[in-house]
Amino acid sequence: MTARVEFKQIKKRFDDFVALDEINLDIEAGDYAVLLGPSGCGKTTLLMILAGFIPPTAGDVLIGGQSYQHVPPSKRPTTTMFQDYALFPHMTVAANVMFGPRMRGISRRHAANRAMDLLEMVNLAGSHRKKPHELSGGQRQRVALARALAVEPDVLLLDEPLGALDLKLRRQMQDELKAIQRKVGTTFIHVTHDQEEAMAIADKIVVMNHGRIEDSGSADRVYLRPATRFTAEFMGEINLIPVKLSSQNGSSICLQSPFGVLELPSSALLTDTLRQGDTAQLGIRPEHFRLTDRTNALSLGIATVKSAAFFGAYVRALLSLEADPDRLLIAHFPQDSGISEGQRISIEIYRTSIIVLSN
Amino acid sequence: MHRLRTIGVAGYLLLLYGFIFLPVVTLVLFSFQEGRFPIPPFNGPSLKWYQAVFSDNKLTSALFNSLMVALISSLVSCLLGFLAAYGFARYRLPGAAPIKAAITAPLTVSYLIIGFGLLVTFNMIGVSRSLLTVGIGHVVINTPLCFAIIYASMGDHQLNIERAARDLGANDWQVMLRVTAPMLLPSIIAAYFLSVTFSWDEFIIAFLLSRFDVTLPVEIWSLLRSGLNPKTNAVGSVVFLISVVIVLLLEFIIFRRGAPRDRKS
Repeated sequence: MTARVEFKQIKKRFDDFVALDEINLDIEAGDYAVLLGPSGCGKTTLLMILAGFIPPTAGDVLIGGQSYQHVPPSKRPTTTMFQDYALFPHMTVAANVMFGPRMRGISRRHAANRAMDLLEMVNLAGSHRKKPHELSGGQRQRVALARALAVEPDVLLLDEPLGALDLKLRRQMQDELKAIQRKVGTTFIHVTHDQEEAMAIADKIVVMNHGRIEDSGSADRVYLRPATRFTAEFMGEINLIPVKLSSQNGSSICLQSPFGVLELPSSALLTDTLRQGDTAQLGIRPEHFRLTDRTNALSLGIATVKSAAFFGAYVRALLSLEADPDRLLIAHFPQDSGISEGQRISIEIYRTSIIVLSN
Repeated sequence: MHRLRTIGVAGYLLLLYGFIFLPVVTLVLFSFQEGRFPIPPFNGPSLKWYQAVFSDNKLTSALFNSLMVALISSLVSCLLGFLAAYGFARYRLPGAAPIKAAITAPLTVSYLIIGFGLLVTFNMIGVSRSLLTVGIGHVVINTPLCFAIIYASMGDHQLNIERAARDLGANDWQVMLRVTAPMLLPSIIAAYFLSVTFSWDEFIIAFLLSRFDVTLPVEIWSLLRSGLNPKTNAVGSVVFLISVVIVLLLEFIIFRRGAPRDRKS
C-alpha cells in the first residue's frame, strides 16, 4: 500500500537534449512529495520514468527497494493520474473506477464494492451511473483519483492534477488530496509548476531546473533557506542585491552592499563556497520589510514609495532606497499600513531574515 | 427591403434544392404511374409497378445480393481500416508516410481502373467472378475511406486514455477492444454506414466482377437496356429509399450520440 522510492543516478537524453542529468532522490514511504519546476525542467519526464512509460538512458529507480527495469507500467506498483484525467468517456463513473481491479482479475462484485467505497471517499457515491462528460472538472478529477487508487498502488503519481481547475477549486482540491493521502497512506508524487500548490500540500518539495535537482526539503526550509539562487527566485518573489563578502569570523559576516556595510549573523550564509572578496547575492523576501523599530533589526534608511498596489492580503510596494536610488525593491506591507505612492518611509529588516546566496 | 431579401434567399434555396432533387422527385413520381411509360401526363397513383418489382425474382434476389455485399464488405473494410488506423496512430513504423500514402491511394483511382485491374488479376490467378469478387472489389475501394475517417478521429487525447488503461493493468488487446474501439465507435459507425451506401450504389466494379449472381445496380442496368418503363422508376425509388434510410440511421446514431458531448466540451 505504500513504498519508498529511490532514484539512482537517473539520466535521460532525447537525441541531443539532456532532459535529466544524474538525478539522485529518495522519497520516504507515505510521504507526499511534490516535484516543482518550470515547464521543460524534466519533472514530468522523471515521473514518467517512475511510471514506466519512458525508459531512462541510464540509472535505475527502486520502488520499495526493488528495481523495475524493463517492467511495463501495468506490472509496477504505481498508478498515474494524468493531467487531463484520461477517463474512459464511454464508461460510467463506476465502470471507470472498476476498470483497474477488473483488469487485474478481481471479480465483478468485489471490484464494484471497492469502486463504491472509493467513490464514497471522494464524495461521488451518488454519481456512479453518470458518464464523465456529465461531471464538472473537479468531479472528474475525483473520479480519476478514485480510479487510480482502486488498484491499491504503493505509489500514486499525479501529473499536474490541478492544472485544469480554477483557482478556488484548486485550493479546495489541494486540501482534499492531502487529506486523502493521509487517509490511505500511499506515497504520493505530484508534479506541478505552482509553488503555492507545492507548499500547501508537500511533505517534501523537490525543486527542479534544467534536468537537475536544485533543492529538496520541507516547504518552509526550501522557501526561507533555499539552497540555490534559482530556488530562491522560483519559490516566490525575492529582492536580490549584489554584495561582496568583506570579512568573516565565527559568528558573523560583513558584506559590502549598495547600502553600505552590513553585518549579519553567519547563519545567513546559505553557501559554503564563498571566500573573502567573492561576490554574492543578498536575498530579501518582500514580506520581511518592516516599518517600525524593533530590536535586532537592520535599518535600511529612508525609502521612497515608487508605487503601491493592494493585493488582498498585503500591499505590494516598489521602493527606492535613498542609499541606492536606482534599484527598485519589492516589499509587502500589512493591509492597514497606509502606504501610498510618493510617500517617504523609514524601513528596516530583521537581520535573521536576510540570506546570502552564491551567484 | 428586408422582405425582398428574404424572398430572394428563399427563391435561391428553392432553385438549388430543385436542381438537386428534381430528378429524384421525377423518378419517384413516375414510379406511381398508372400507364406503361414514365412520361407526362401523370396518371395514377398506382402501386402496380412496385408489385411488379417485388414479384420479379431477379430483382428481389439482386436486392438481397446487394444488401449482403454492402453489409459484409463494409464490415471487412471497417475492420481493416480500423486496424490500419490504430497501427499508424499508435506505433512508430519505419516508412510510415509512404505506407500511409499507399493505403489512401485507391481513393484517387477511378473505380473503372480498379475494377478492370481486379478483373485481370482474378482471371490471372483463376478466380471466377462471383458476389465474393464483387465484395472484394468493394473492400478495395472502401478500406481507404474507412481508414481515413477512423484515422482522422484518433488524437493524442485518446493516447493518454489508452496509457491510463495500460497503466491500470490492461494488455494491448484489452486496450484496443475495451477502450480504443468503443471510444472511436461514433467514427467507426460513420465509416461503416458511408461504406454501406457506397457499396450499395456501386455499379462499375460490380458489373465487371459479377457473373450469374448480380447486385441491384447491375440488374437495373440490364433492365434499362430494354427501355424505360415505370418499373425501372419503381426499383430506382426502392434503391433511393434504402439509401435514405441508411443516411438517416447514420445521422441518428452519430449525431444523437455526439450531441451531449459536444455541448459539454
